[in-house]
Amino acid sequence: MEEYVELSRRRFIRVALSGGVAACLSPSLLLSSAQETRITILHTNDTHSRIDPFPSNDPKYAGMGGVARRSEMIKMTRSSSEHVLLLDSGDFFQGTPYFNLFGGAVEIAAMNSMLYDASTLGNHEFDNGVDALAKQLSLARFPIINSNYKFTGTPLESLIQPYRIFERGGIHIGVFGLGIELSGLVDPTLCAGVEYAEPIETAKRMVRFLRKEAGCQVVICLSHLGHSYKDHKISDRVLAERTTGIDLILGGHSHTFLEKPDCIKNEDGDYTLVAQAGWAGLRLGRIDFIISRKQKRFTCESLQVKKTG
Amino acid sequence: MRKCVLPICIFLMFASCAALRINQVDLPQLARVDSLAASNDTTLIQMLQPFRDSMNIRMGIVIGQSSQPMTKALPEGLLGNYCAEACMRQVTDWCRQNQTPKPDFCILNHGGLRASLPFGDITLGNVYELMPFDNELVIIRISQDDLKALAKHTASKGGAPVVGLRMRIHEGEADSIEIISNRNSGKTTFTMLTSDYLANGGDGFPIRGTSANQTATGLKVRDVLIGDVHEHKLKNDSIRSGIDGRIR
Repeated sequence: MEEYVELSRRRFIRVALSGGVAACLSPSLLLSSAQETRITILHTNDTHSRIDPFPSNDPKYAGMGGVARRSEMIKMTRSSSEHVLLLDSGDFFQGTPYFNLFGGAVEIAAMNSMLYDASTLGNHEFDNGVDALAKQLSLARFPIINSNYKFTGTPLESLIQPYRIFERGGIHIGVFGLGIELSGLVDPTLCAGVEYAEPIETAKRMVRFLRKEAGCQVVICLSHLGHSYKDHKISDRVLAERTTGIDLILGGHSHTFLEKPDCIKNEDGDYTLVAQAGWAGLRLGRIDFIISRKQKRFTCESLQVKKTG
Repeated sequence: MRKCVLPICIFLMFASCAALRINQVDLPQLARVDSLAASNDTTLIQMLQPFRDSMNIRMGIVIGQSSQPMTKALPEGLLGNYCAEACMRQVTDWCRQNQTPKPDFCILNHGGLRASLPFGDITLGNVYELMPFDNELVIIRISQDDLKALAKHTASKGGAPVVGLRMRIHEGEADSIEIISNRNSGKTTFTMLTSDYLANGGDGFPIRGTSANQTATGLKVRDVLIGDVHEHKLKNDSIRSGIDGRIR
């Protein structure tokens, strides 16, 4: 398992100056057309402080979920797949008394233990206010990525990054994050100083940067916008339609159980996948990108986190 | 098995590597790998055990019983109806103590009900999971126009947890709304019990609480629910709910 690498801005510029050629000369891309690199993306969203499985008397989800089983599933995937990225699309806070009693420390500790590679912010991350969120995020050993909130002058400013570039098997994977409009969703006093920017323009800017300047071969958006809405509100599906160059949108907020990702034709006629893994850690999504010189394709599974028998 | 295999764009074969996009999509049938889910990461279980013990001691207390499992549903559901009724009961007591007229109706946020209630023992933790937020109950004086806006909003959401009103929804539009306490009185202003989350515009709620129209009860929704479950227990009773077509 390789550690993620954050390329400095200087390196981006170098790559950009030498043109697309630099990207093509990276070892993985000198593969013969028959050689393939498989990148396994594992993803969760809206885990909502669900540390333990649902109690046995829960009317809907008795005995399902829980971080210990999820962790084991992640470990098994890592032992069988060489190149794994474990990502979360936000709202890891709020929903069980673990959050009321310990303020998020348990959720962060569990995610640290599972070696999450990155997460983005959901609206419920703000439920105890900006200062409390900053205190908890400072304990995270994984980057928190958001590209469309401005945190200037808040304690979150130094804790959130607009993007991160991971390297797996010689493939550069650019990850950026989009959060939902907080107004009308989060009490204004709890997200004071956080400014929201329009997601589509932000996404276009991030994709341009990640692909053209940073030379990423795969671009993933961690989104907490919600899967789809009846009206024209910005959602993952709308984002996929109105942009180009995003390979995969890992969504959240709407607690949508997708058996397989939506495959949406984007502005260039390419495809963007939209995935979401329900909520409460009931599912662990898995999408494999199989990348060769000629093509990029994928397979997927949605794994249920439940006990057998 | 749905399979959408799309033709490989020939030009991509010659395009630069950096421009490589998804050009073939092969969605296999969902594979459930339950055997993967069989075991637990015991290291993580042990690491979290002190937190779990502390939580179980504080949250495992049985505060009462439910005569049935309650889950949320639209346009109305057992859980939402119970929560609205419990809030109304407890705030009616509060109003009596504070010499304030009791509200005409109660409306809560469907999305704010975060977990189901089981049949049988209800623990403190069950109520925390149902209502993890620290939202407080407020009483807002509203006009007939406000009521119309509320009906429109509720219809657009497909329903809501309510008590004290009846409404009909037809194809996403409000057909009618009636305040039950107003059947024989012909009032033109009403009092609405709701959460400060909605009164601050949460979930696109159309009515804002202001210093002029709002009375803060200082009661947390969660504390009110805990109190209601416990009061039933003290009377050797269990909580119950029903569907009565209040919203349909």
